[in-house]
Amino acid sequence: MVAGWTRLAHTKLGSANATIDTGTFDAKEHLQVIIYTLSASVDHYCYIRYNGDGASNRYTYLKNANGEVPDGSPNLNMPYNDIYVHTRNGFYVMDITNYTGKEKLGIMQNIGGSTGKTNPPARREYVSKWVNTSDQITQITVHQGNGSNTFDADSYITVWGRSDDVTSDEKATLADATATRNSTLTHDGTDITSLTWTELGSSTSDASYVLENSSSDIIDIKNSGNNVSGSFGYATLPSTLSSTAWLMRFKLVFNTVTAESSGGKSFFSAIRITDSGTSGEGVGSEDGFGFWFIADAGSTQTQFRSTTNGSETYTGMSYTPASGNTIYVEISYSSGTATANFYSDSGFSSRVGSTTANATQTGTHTGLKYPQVMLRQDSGGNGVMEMELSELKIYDGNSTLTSVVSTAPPAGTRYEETDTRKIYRREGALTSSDADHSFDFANNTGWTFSDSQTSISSGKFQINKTNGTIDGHRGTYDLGSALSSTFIFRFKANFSTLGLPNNGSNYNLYIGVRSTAGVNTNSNDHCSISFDLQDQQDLKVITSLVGDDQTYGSGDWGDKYPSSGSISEDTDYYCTFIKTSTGFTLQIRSGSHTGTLLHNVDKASSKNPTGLQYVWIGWSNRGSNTGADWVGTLDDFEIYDGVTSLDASWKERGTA
Amino acid sequence: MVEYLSGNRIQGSSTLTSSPPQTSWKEIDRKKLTSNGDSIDCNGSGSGFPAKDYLMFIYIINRPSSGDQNIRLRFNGDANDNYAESYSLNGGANTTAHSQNNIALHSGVVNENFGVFFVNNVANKEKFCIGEVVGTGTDASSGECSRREQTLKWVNTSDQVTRIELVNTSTGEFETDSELIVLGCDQDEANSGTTYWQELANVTGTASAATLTTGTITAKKFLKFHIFHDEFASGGMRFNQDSSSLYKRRYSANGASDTINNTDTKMSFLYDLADAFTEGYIINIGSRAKLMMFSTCETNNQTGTGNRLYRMEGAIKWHNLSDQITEINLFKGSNFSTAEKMIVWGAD
Repeated sequence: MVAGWTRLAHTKLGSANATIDTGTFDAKEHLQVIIYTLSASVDHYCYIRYNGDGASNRYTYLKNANGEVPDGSPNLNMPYNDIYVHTRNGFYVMDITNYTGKEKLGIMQNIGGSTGKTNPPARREYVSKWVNTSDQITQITVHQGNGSNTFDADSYITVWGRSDDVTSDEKATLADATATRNSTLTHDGTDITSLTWTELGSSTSDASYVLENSSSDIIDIKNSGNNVSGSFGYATLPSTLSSTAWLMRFKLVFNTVTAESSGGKSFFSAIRITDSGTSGEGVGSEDGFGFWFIADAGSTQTQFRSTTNGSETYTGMSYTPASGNTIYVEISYSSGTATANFYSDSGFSSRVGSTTANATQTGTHTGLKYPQVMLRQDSGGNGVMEMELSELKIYDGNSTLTSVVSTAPPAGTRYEETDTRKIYRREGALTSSDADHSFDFANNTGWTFSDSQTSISSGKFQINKTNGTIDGHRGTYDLGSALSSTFIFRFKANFSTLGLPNNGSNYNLYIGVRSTAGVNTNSNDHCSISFDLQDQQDLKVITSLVGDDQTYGSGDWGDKYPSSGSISEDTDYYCTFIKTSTGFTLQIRSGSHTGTLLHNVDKASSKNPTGLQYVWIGWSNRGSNTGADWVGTLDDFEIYDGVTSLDASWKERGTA
Repeated sequence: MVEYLSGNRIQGSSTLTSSPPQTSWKEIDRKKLTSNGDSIDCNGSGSGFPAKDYLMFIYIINRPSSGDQNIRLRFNGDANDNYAESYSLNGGANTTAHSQNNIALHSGVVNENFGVFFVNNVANKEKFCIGEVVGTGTDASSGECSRREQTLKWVNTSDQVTRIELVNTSTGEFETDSELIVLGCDQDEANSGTTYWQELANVTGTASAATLTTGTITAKKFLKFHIFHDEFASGGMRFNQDSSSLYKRRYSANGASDTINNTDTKMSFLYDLADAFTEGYIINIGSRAKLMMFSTCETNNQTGTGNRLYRMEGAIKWHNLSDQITEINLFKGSNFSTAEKMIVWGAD
């Protein structure tokens, strides 16, 4: 398989038109174009434009007509690339170089002329250029320029381009793809006998019972027997559920719901998942989650409860059990929170009562192993509940039926190319232990301070400027060798005081790396994150910049954070500066370096700072008595050299 | 493909590759003489080759061992006065002819001729044709080459061209191995089969080398190339690293009369300065002189608005009669830049 020529565009006029337009086509570095213009009755002038650019001074061309010796005068500064032929029909073959950053150069030959065998064809040769150096040609338009004349139908343009092989990189797919994965059904009670049930009662002639009905694959439930302290029927799962995540579903049919006729009678049927099949209602000290279907006199209702050591909390659900109802019940548990929902369909897609029939309870319960039915009716009660429980399914380890998962192989996976025999290994994300330079500020070894406004104590880099000058005051550290052209540094900052200056100026506290431990030279190379206090606009912001052979404040600046307003005092800001080959990125997060992303802005820059050997924290020469105040700390300053990402990635690790 | 192996290992090729859509020129007919004759007739299997919206035909006519050749072109066997042409020979004044029974592609020649032509092939329109011819010159063993620039038309407005015939009307013959190849392409050419021009090399300059080389490329009978130059001072091109005086060039600069350099040690395409774009075609048969036709568009180091372009066109002969070109080198007095590129396509 090799690269070749591919048609990029073809447009043929279906009716007369003054323009033939390719539309947008893929950018290719080498183009071949064939144009055929027709006019049965009038002369036409053909003009070519690229990407719709009809501005003046954009095209230059040189033409030889019919072998004239020498060429005619070159045409400069044209708003079009003239392929004018003062004839009725024309056929043009053109090759174009189409490189970004270069003028587009074309070589074209043409034949045209009036029809008939007694009219020899005209012959023209052209070279042309489009002075655009920022774009590639992705559209070619042929314009008719002789008054209101048009090209006849069937006039056309065809464009071909040199195309590389079409390739797909399977490594990328392996590294970063995601997929929707169904959770594994770990406990399937669809066949009611597949779980081990401990039953309540011996037959449906009992007053109350929880009985396996294997012929119908249901658990028959009846509560009418004045079970004051509660009675239990339960299944024993082969293993306890995860304390991290699980999903339980079942179907519940209410055949009869008759509430108590007299007050003061507690009457309910509970369906739960617990750590003890025989505990509940004051018996034992169980943990679990479950539903209480209550039919007290005048108060038929549903509650979702969390039980911890026998004590319960509950949330009422907007669902009233009633004879003839069928619901599909779900409890989704994830990291201490259980969410209950009722659905009207077996697909668990239509929630009963829309958003109201759900509830959430908390509790990090361990040892859950017993799907349990608990019945209670106070003595003398006359209420009746008859229910059928079926289709019990538990997905242990997952709180949802489907989940989006990464298909990236785990760190340490070895990928071996069979064609090039290169070996790659999937590396995990870089962490603090991978940093090339790391400062936890447990001591000040190696640091130099120009004055007392910067120091190291209490395990942090201290910044304490509340008055006086900031004339080049700084703390510096010699890394021993310069960083490479790509790197990352990051730190945590927290300022208890950020006071605006009072002299109408803006001042910056720079935190980063420089080519000198000194200050205010004219050959500063630096990459910095700046805490900027601006009296001019009453702003306190975090910004970033790159400088190359420049004084303080000079260079390419990134966007500020926040874009409006000010940063907060007494707040942790996790700041990351990423120097790439094309510029730099400032990331700011809350909580941690993997926390909520507050700011993530790339800045393209051609600056190429070199010799970045010094950590430099302080103020450049900006005079004194500004009134600006910075009081705060920095911590966990880390530098990762030669990288532009700390994320997991594939790394080439030799050849086989 | 990927195999998932035990121990956290995956094995497979790094990339899946496939050719780009095959929607450009494809070979639709060819005829090669197995003995001397006066006609090379591409007529499919006898009833014409497939009608295509565009045609490109390439030919090499071997020099006659006696007599000379009048090389004539006919479409669909039409020998009536339905042809007209306009041409320039060796950069000279334009000549026109009309109501011809065929098209003259050279007359009274005793050399090898290499031609490349494009045809617009719409049934109800006159068939327009643009092309160039390069000849080894009357003395095939040495001496200057010749070149011819030509436009022509066949005034038939009812048929597409489905037959192309080269005919000799003089005393000599087309010698054995003379060959005519017809390429075709529809406006909606299907993505099937294989396109004719296959990429042999695609190289980019490096800042540390004063030579830009294709390296060894597969030997192909026909070559097509694009070069983008950048600061090409004192530069040139050589085949197979041959720096002997076997390069014979004829060129016109900005439409002026041809200049002839007959003992060059390199091939040049422009006035020493760039940016510039050069394109060309080469016939590349080992036992015969290698012939090239080329054109250059040059900014003459004056990019931007308000600056004129320069133009060069010409023909080159590399008088090596034993080797096919298997390496093309560009060189100059300074290192190349990464903006400079050379792409070579080939076909047999």
